[in-house]
Amino acid sequence: MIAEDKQAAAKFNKKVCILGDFSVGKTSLVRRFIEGIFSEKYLSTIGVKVDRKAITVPYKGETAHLTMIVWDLAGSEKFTQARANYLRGAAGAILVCDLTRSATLASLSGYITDLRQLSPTAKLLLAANKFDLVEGQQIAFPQVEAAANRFNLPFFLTSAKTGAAVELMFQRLGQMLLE
Amino acid sequence: MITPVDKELEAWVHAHVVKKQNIAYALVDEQLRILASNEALPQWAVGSSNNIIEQSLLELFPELIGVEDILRQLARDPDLPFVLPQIQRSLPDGATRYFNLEIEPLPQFGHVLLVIITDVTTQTHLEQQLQQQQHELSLQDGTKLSGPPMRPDI
Repeated sequence: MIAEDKQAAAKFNKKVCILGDFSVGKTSLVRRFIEGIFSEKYLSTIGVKVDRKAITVPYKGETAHLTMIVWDLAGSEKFTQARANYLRGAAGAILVCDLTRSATLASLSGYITDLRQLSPTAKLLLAANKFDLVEGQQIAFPQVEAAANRFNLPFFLTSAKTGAAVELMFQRLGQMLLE
Repeated sequence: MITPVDKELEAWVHAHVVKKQNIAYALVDEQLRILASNEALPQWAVGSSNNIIEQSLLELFPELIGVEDILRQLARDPDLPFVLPQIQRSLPDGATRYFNLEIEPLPQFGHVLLVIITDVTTQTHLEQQLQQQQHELSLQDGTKLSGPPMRPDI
């Protein structure tokens, strides 16, 4: 994490992990945020893909430049040494569930536990994704709200397909990272 | 007849194997600056030129941002290697490749780290295809799959 306090705005680099079960839309959320695009094709992520995007964030009454180092991780419930190394040094994380699969919401507690072990101060928020899929939703708003309250997380109803709340969510996480 | 003392041949074989396996390596100091590397390293680095000596390892491999303190500690107090497997890299030609990144201390040479990069593209592509099939089947069944995918025997 680098901070340069010059005459110009402060600059920060922060690592952010995207966590959740397979096919909840982690890669799609990242592509929407980084590249502004969406693909219907499902391509399972293996290992990790790291992307960067710079945003501006309010900081101590001024504007700071924050480069988010976004880690798109393969969905996995297995906690291995390799996965531990993926999570080390994370300043923040977005926990993603799929509104059309209820099990993906239940899984999030495991990801939170793993992350808390390795990065106890990481800032977290919850993305309930595929909000655009009106039919087939298995998770109702009160369930998302209850899960978010249980872990004391801000939450967003997102759609990587339409872009709904995606930019807003990353911007909010950016603010949390500099608080 | 090859004698055990034919060091020149041995050095050539080592270099040949490293090149044949597309293994990249670099030596970095405690400040994570590149001290030396082989010619294969720039192909894996982000936005690098061929002249990477003195550059920050973090600029070339942003995957290491966030773990700087762990690596500096590893240089000072040798411990087990720090390993990041199956890192995906998109190349300018649109191809996707994967590599394992392993960083280990070299205490016999001071506070120096050896960075080793191994090309695992072929096996990772196979693993990805298998995992994709399992996930698609799982989604069709409406069941929840747990655990890592089986590794193809290659």
